[in-house]
Amino acid sequence: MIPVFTWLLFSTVSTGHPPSWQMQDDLSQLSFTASYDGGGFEGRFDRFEVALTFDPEHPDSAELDVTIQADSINTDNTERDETLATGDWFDFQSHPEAVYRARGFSRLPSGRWGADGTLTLKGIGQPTPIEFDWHRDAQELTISGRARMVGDAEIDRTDFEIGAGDWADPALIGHQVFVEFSLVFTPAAPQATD
Amino acid sequence: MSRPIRWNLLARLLHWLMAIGLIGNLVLGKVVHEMDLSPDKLRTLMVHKSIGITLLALAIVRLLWALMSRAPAPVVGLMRLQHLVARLTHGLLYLCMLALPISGWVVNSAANVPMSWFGLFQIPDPFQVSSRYKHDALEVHEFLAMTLIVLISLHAAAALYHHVVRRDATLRRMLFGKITDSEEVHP
Repeated sequence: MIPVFTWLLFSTVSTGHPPSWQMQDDLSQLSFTASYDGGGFEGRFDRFEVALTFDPEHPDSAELDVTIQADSINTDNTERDETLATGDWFDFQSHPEAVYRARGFSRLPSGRWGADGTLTLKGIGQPTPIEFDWHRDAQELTISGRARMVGDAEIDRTDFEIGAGDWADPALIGHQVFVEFSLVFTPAAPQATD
Repeated sequence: MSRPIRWNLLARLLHWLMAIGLIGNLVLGKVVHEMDLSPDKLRTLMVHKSIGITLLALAIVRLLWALMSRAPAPVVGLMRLQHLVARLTHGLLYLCMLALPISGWVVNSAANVPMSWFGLFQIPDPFQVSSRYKHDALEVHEFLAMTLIVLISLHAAAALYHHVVRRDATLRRMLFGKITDSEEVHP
């Protein structure tokens, strides 16, 4: 709700700025694949917020801010999730939120979009590029003019001291974690006014 | 058609290999169960699972071998009831040797955890069990482990009874030493 109000407050002065987008929580997913004993297992974050301003015609001025509630991590294993709360892992108590922040998107040779943002996890900020596709529903086909942002990133968990100490053994739990996101947005305000 | 006087070599090898493996993995399972989640617990658990999968494969080989080859006749002088109890115990042992590792495999599936065989290759998850059944699956696994302990105890006690009290060839037929002619048994 807050981004909507923000838009209502500032829409009159921000005319001409790239459009902001309202994420549809129930349609959006932030998941990851980590490895254990040589095989992959999946998990997700159930609570996160995304503030996005993006006009594909003016990607330089794009702004992406993601706030993830660390304790919403869910790997379908209670014992594992309880361990992830501890100091060796996400340390929920000291670092309840993870943040991703990117300013300006660019077209990649592959045709996807890219952003060179910073991921701050457990209080440690690391440059973390993401790549994504941006699908915009044709407005004449849907009332909402919905957009989907589907992409991924690869991180090394040890860069953020996730799984420290004896847990750092890669033979047990792999260092590489593949993050995937599928986010659905509606324009934060009627496009016609832009 | 005459029946062999002792178990064939493959049956004897499998019997003792699995005896060591089963008892060892029962102990390992108990040890893992008592540990708090730590890297060492996970490493121990990986060994427990790998041994369990191996024992499942051996149990299948053994069951097929038992169905294909002829068992030695029971030693002479056994009461019908004893023979029946022995058959029942053996049947339950086979059932347990199959069901225990399979139930562990199901626990692993419900835990949403990948599994390898001694780190060499991945074991697939054919069950795809929901995580909400993990507790129940673990209960079944533990119950089967307890059942197996009881069955192994009965089995060993019966073998010792034959060997020490009755002094017949029942146990020696499963061992690797010579069996003398006088101990040969015929149906």
